[in-house]
Amino acid sequence: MKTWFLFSLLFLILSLADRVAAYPNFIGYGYSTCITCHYNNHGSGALNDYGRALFAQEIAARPFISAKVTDEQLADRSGFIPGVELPWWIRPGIKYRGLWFERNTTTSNAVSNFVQMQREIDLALHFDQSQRFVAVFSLNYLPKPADLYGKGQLQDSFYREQYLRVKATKNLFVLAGLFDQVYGVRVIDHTAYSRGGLGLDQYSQTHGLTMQWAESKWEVAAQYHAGNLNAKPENQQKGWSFTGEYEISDKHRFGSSLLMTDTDTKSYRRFALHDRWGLSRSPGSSFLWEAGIFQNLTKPAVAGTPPTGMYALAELLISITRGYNILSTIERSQGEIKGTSPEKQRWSLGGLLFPFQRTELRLSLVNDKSLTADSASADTWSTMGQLHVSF
Amino acid sequence: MFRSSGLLILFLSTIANADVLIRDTLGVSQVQWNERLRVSVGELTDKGKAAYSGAAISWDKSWTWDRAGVGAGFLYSVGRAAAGDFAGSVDFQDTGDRKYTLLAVTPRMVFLLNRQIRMGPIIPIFYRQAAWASKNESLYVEPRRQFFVGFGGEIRVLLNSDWEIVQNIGALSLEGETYWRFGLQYRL
Repeated sequence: MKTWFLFSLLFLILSLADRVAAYPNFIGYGYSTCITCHYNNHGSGALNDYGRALFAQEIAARPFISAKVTDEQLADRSGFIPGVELPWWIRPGIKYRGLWFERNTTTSNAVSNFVQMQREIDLALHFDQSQRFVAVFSLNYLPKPADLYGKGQLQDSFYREQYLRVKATKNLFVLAGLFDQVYGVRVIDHTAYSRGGLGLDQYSQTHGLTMQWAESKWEVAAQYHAGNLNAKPENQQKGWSFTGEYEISDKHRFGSSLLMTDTDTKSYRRFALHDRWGLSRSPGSSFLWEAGIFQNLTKPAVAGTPPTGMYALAELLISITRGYNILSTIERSQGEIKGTSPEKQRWSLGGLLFPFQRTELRLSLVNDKSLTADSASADTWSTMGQLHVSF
Repeated sequence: MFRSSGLLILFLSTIANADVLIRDTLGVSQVQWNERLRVSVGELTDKGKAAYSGAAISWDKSWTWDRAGVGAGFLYSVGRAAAGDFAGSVDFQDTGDRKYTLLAVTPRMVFLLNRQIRMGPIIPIFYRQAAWASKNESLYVEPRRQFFVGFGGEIRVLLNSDWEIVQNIGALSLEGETYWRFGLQYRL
């Protein structure tokens, strides 16, 4: 009874935590797989102890910290309460992201807005000290109440993750519950053409089962999608996705993804290749790309060959010094692979900064273009700033 | 003027008394840029945009000394061009089948952030051909001059000893005439 009371109290209390993020770009530091830092084998969600420590002692800058404090000591302080080791079985966390953006920058039509992008409470429960059995929960508060699942009910929060992870053998992981869909590279920007553009944004979770086999040089995963059971039955996306990566050389991984899901009225097909490359002579810097094709089909099928679209993303992370990076991203998307078909392009340039412990700051200038065969439109420029804090 | 002088001094100081490394690269790119476009019928004039997008092949040579260098190259591009974003005072409908060809010379300065990443300003000089004549004989289409100069920056990343990624971002003017280039170069 006492244990359950303590558990409930801890779950409700807002607590200090070291909870920033690790990204696929961090292959530039030599961290090739997501499970190094995350409980979720494919990234996103809560960081484990190693991820928190790694972030504190290697990724984030350390201004105002005495040189007498070693990076190892910073790692020791990266937990829930700095310097305090929690019971082995519990790891809570908090994440906050605030976004300021301005559309039509430098014009008389400039419009700015501030959004509380993410307010997240995480909880990981270890059922054994070797973490073979781990339960993970991630509760997110929406920027404003919304009818997230089309049921005519406004809600102000939702679970992004609720799963049990089992390390069945040294190489086999099984996750059962609610999590993000497994496909492609989970880049920083959820509005990227390779993420939100394919229906894989921050609200597109599925209930299901994920099985991953991980070797030191390669890994493969299969995910069964039972659909998001919180959604209306006719909108639940059911099917399969597969992904795999192979280490071509040190800090260089090549991979592929396939997704095939259906609702009652639509079918989704995606296939992609991707590559993540840590720059060996520029520690912390990396280059990644993903390119794929997609089909969004209606049911019943209409006559004729359904259109196949394409998308591509290339992202360059340049490490200037510890905690300070330049991030450049180029994207392209076309609804139908045809010379005259409209296409979208986006280029963004900015900074990905970790100026203090437990803090991330993103600044970017974004240029959006729409191209068609018989018309041109003015570019759209946007400015964005994002603050991510764990406290 | 002061900043340009500082850049030049920095550049000259880094190349003094250093051995030169000469590199040739050959590659393919995606290029995209906007130009201003004006259409007129009689006394009526309307301003809009011309958007160009296509593929390019390029050859580039660079000379680097220690932490800085210079480079220059040639680029040939073909693709499609389309016009739009007019205010509507002139009735202009693009035909949708317009092609362009582009030749460019791309002189640049190079600063080595480290052994794998190079950045620097670039001043591309373009010669562009596109048939902008309208089928409506009373409609006059006035694109930019065929020769024009841009300004911008370049980032080059050496993936390994053979391949590098190149990104250009710049403008032809401060009136929304931006250009991009993203490509892959093979080091000869």
